[in-house]
Amino acid sequence: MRRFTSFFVFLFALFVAAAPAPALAGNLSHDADRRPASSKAHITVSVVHATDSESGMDPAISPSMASQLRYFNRKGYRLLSTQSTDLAAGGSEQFSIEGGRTLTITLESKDSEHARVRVQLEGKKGVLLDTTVKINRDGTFMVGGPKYKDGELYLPLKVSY
Amino acid sequence: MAESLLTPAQLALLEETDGLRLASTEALALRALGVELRDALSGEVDVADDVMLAIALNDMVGGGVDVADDVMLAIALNDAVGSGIDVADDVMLAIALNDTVGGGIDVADDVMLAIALNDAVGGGIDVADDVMLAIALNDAVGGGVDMADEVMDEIEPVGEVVQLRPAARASGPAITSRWGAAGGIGVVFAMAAAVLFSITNTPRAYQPVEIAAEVKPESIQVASFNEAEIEDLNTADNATVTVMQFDEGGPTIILVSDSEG
Repeated sequence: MRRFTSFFVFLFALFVAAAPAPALAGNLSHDADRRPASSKAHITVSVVHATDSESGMDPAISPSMASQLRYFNRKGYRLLSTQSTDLAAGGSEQFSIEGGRTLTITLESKDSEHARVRVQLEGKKGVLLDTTVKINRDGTFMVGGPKYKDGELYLPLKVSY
Repeated sequence: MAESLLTPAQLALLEETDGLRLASTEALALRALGVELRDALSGEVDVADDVMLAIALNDMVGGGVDVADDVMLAIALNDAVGSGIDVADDVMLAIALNDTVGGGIDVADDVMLAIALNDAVGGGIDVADDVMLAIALNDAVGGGVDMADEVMDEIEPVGEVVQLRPAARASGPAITSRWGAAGGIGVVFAMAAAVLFSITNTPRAYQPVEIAAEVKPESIQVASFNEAEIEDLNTADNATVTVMQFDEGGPTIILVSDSEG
């Protein structure tokens, strides 16, 4: 029996080694509602591509966000990625955005009701936008408009803690 | 005595893995020594010879491996299948390889199963060498290459399955159950492989869903706390910015129009 037990373990190990990695492993995640340690805020940045070359709403986009996006009168909206990080006050994180852009999020401060967040969007030619906003706790803020392929990008930013 | 030397291609593969961490030449030398010892002892197959060879080889690999169990099983299996296969050599090689790769894999068990399967499918395939090579190479490359699957496909019983005769001696334990379980393994392996294949080959087509069908107004979470207060706003000279909010409770949106595409 010991012999077959080890054989099964061997087969199992082979299967584990051969199993495909999750398609959105790494910096892509859908843990927007995950709550970090009390000293940190969970920042989630999504990238949505609005285009006329596709039609419909990507089911991965939340209904509340979809209801906002449809105002932009594009035929299709596809969720390209969702990235997230935990930031303490003063902490900063850079996110790579499609089209060679970089979004830098800095958590300036937070209290029991609000978070002050600095948002810097940098393109190939330099800084496009540098703004500081006060977002209510667990609230969402959106930057949109950067061109990408035949449409634009929309970047919903959620701060949870 | 049936020899089951590795083919030139297998030898070349084993040699290629030397740089990775598998001392294959040592294992092969050990095997050659086993053949020499066997020839020197007698041309006849004898239980005592096998045990003596096992003890001698065990000493060669440092005594860290308890070969007795494997050898006894080999002898029992050998006897059960009618002595047509000289399993001792393969077991010796398995033990040597197992020791060479650090003992992380109990290769002897797999070789024994391979031998039994080989016999069951008529002996047309010398699976022992292939299994050994697959396991050793798999381990040498860190598990990144799933070579064992191909080998298992080769040794899966096809066509007429020859029933093993009961062991002639009382010390031949669990031979029938081993074979029974081996058949189960084949089925389980085939099913698992099919599942794995289906997972890795399922096309991932994106099928947009119409807005009307996907968005349910009653499920929209409208909350005033999505309104953001913009404290500071700077833009590039060539960009224009518009701040908007489509409906009360919706998120504040900063639209940037830029010339970059």
